[in-house]
This record gives sequence, structure tokens and C-alpha cells, in this order.
Amino acid sequence: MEILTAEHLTKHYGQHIAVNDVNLHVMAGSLVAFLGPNGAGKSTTIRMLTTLSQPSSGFFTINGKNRLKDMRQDIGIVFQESVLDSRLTVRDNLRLRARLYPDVSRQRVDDLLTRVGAAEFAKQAYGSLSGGQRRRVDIARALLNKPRILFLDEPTTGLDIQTRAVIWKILQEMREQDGLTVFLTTHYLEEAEAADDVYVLDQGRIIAHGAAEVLKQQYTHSELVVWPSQHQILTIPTNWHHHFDPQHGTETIEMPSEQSPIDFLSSQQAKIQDFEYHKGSMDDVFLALTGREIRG
Amino acid sequence: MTAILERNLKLFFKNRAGVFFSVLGPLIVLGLYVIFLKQNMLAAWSAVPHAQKLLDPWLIGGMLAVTAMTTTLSGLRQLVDDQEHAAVDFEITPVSPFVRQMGYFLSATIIGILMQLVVFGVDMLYFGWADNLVLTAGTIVKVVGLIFINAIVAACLNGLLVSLFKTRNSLSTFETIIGTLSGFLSGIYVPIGDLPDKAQTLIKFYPGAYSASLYRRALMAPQLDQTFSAAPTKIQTHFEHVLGVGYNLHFGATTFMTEMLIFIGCGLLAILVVLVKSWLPELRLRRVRYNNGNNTL
Repeated sequence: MEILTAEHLTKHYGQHIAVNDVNLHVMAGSLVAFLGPNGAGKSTTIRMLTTLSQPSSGFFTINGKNRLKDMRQDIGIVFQESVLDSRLTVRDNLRLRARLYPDVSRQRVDDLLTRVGAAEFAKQAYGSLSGGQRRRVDIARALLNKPRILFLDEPTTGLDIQTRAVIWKILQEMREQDGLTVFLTTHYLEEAEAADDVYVLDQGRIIAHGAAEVLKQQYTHSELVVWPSQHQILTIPTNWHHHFDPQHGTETIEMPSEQSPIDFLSSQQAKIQDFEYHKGSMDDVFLALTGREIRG
Repeated sequence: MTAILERNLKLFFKNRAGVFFSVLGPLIVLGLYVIFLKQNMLAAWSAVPHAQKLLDPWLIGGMLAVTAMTTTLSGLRQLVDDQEHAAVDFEITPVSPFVRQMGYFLSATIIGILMQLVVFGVDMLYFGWADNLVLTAGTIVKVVGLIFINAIVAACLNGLLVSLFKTRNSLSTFETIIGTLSGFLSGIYVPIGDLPDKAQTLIKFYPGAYSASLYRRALMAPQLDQTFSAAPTKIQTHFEHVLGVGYNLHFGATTFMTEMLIFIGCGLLAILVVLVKSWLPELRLRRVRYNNGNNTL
């Protein structure tokens, strides 16, 4: 079942087109990663999908609904910047926000605090928390109204690796236990590896879409770097791309399939001192699609 | 709405420094009066019997008028803060923009009432101790009534001011100016009668001047009647107008009733402008929002 459908979503700011004809089909319970360089239109798209700004044209539905009020019932948002009150305690923050919804109980607040592992610092002021602790509370805030889909705008930016792992674990649990759909933008491409579906956005357009594995196959190749033993000539199939680096004495060979490196290494075993194998990563996909120059 | 109200009040009162600074202006006035102004004014009014019993309540009236302005403005600061950060978090909730605005307005009003009561209490204690000033129960009831009206109207007026600011920094600068200016415009540093004509005209355009006059009437009435019981009405009126108890407008001298009407009228006008300002874009947005394609409101 599709939880989010967007058709021809477009946003203009005067002459500037921030988001251009974006189509999205997100299945319930999936994890969707939205990638793109700075200024690609990720945040603008999220703002539209979370009903905070209106599309210039195109439309979308959340859980089959298209009325603003109904859609808002089903969405939760973790904003890029903290929006909770730093002077209030964690529990006060959540309790007061809970009362802005028709039927969110105090019990729900306490349950969420436990689930995101924030119960032990619930009495502390939000402003006194570390970045990772805040993020957990932000997630609890976003889940107050039992959304079906959770939008996260760069949820792990600026967090250390341990904290990122904790955030991922929480999101994973929510998906498994509640069937929550997670839609996130991220700068950490390895985070996109775990996604069921990846959209790559550039200059407002979706330039690639698919499962991480499929994108990697499509846009990258795996490379085998080999150090031949002295005076040995490697036998490389003629239709394989390869080039020799005389300075380091290495041969870099593009691998046409998953099986190729094993076959090649065993056939040439006697002639090789050492080797490195690089599988195509989401970084390679990203760079292949959006180029290497730095934007904004 | 109670949730937003409770949040705003908690945020205001948890910031102890902010609470203190919101009443610092009026308290400085008290200090200045006690240290410098009082002796000068008493000397100038030496012909008036029991001048001190008139000047003390005169000062209290001005202080309360200023307190309402500065504290409701501090209370509304949260609205501007939220525009920078938290507003989006409320926008995604089912709470309507009108209810959200009311939350800010009511919290500012409550802050205005509480802080005026604090200042009134400090004044009564200080002047009771220093000058044996005792207010009658009737006067206190009248003043408390005015405190409520004053807080509501001041919150309306400041609502209009705050709607002109987008960032906390620009508002802070403005707050400092208001804090200083409202003292002058309410005629508490220097009585209006001692100012040049142009300054007097300026004061008559400041809504807070009317709230100051209303307070002074309530606080000074018993003593005025006593002091001027033997004097012609003309002399009493002259004295009152010099101190800013009633003003001469082009239709004549103001009364308690006209001042109340002018003051509340200004508040209503301000809130009307705020509503039009905030609802016009909202209405326009509603018409087009999500009407593209199949999305309807």
C-alpha cells in the first residue's frame, strides 16, 4: 500500500524553480532516503510534503488523504533544527506539545520517552542535553500523534557515530513494531545503503530512483587493484577495462560481475603479491550522478 | 489553548532575569523619584497643602501605566522568538492560527496583570513605610480593576508593535526604547505641565498617557478632593492638568469616561489591525492552498 504519493510536485520562488516535477511513490513501512547536494531542493520538498508550504503545482496524498487536516494527523516531522523549548524540561516539552493534539495521553508521552531512551533525562531542561539526547527527544515529539509516516530532515547531521547508531536503532524499532514509514534526507551516504528506496535529487529534479543495490549496480562498478609480483605479466580478458599505474606499479581493473574478482584472483594467484577490492558504494553513485564540483 | 498559555507563562517566569528586567524600568522610576525628583517637585508645589500625599499616588499611577506596557511587551517577546524557531512545530498541529495567537495574547495579559500587582504591592509597602501612605479599600479595588483593563489593552497595543518585528534582536532594541520612552510619554519623569507644548501634544497621542491618567484619578481622587475642598474648581483642574490627571484635547478636557473610551478604543483598533494583518494572507492562502490538482482543504 502506498502511504505517500506525489505527482508532478513543483515549487517556484519567482523565476527560480526549487523543485521541478517530482514524483514519489512510497510504500507503507519502507525506509526512503532522499539524497542530493546542498541546494538540490530536499528541504523544500520536505516542507511541501509536511504541509508547511504549498506546492506551486502538482499534488500529493498521505495515506490516501489529501485534506490538510487529515494529512497532518498522519505525519510526524523531525526538523533539522531543534524546535523544542530549551528552558523547559524534556517531559514538560512533550506534555505541553501533546496537549496540542486531540487525544494524546500522558501515558503516551511516558511510553515514548522510554522507547527513545530519554526517560532518565526526562527531568532535565531540553537546552542542557547533548545533541544526541536532543535528537531522541525530537523523535519522541514527532511521534506524539502516532503518525503513519515520519519525515526527518538530516536527522543525524552533526552527531557522533555512536549516537547515529542509536538513532538508527530507534527508527528501525519503530518501523518493525509500528509499521512506521520513514522518509529522510541525509548527507551520510552510508545511511542510504539501508534504505528500501533511494531518490537522488539534483537541481530540483529526481535524477535517479531505486533500491540502493540497484543504483550501485547501475551507476558504479567494482574495482580490483592488483600489485603484480616482479616481472610478472597479468593475463586480463581483453574486454575488461583496466589501466596500469607505472608509479605505484598497480593494475586497476573494473570488475564486470560479482564473481569476476574471485575467478580472476584464483587464476592469477601465482603472479600477484597483493590486492585491494573496492565495491561500488552509495558515495560512488552520488558522485557519478551529481558530479564532483562543490555546490553552495 | 491552555497548553500554549501554560507554556508561554512557564517560559516567561523560568527566565528570572527576564522577569526582573521587565519591571526594572518602573522600579528605576521609583528610585529616581525617591532620590531626586520628589524633593524638587515638593519644593515646586510648596503652596499646595499635603503635596506629598498627592505626589506619591501620582507616581504610583504612572508606574503602573508603564509597567503594563513594558511587561506585556516582554510577554509577547515569545511570539517573535517562536517565529524564528518553534512556530513550524505549532503549525503542524491541529491548533488553529487564531487559537495560537490568543495563547500569546492571553499569556502577555496575565503577565501584565501579575507584574502590575507586584509593582503595586511594592509601591504600597514602600510608601506606606516611608510616607505613611494608606490607600482605602475602595481605591485598591478601583486600581485592581484598572490593572486588568490596562493589561488587556496594553497587550493589544503591543500585539500590533510585535507584529512588525521578525527577529528577536530588532525587537530587543525596540524594547529598550519603549522602556525609556514610555516613562516620558506617561509623564512620570517630568509632569506633562512642565513640558513644552510640542511634547505635550506628543504625549496626548500616546495611549499609555490615558491609562496613566485613569490610574491617577483612581489613586489621587480622595486626596484631591480633600486638598482642594476650599479652593475654586479652576485651580484644582489646573493642578490636575499639570500633573497629567486629564488632558486638554481640542473638544475640551478629558474625563474618566472619555479617557477610558480613548484607551480601550486604541486597544481595539490595534487588535483589529493585527487581525487584518494576520488573516488577510491566511485567507488568501486558504483559497489557493492545496487546490492544485486534487488537494483541497
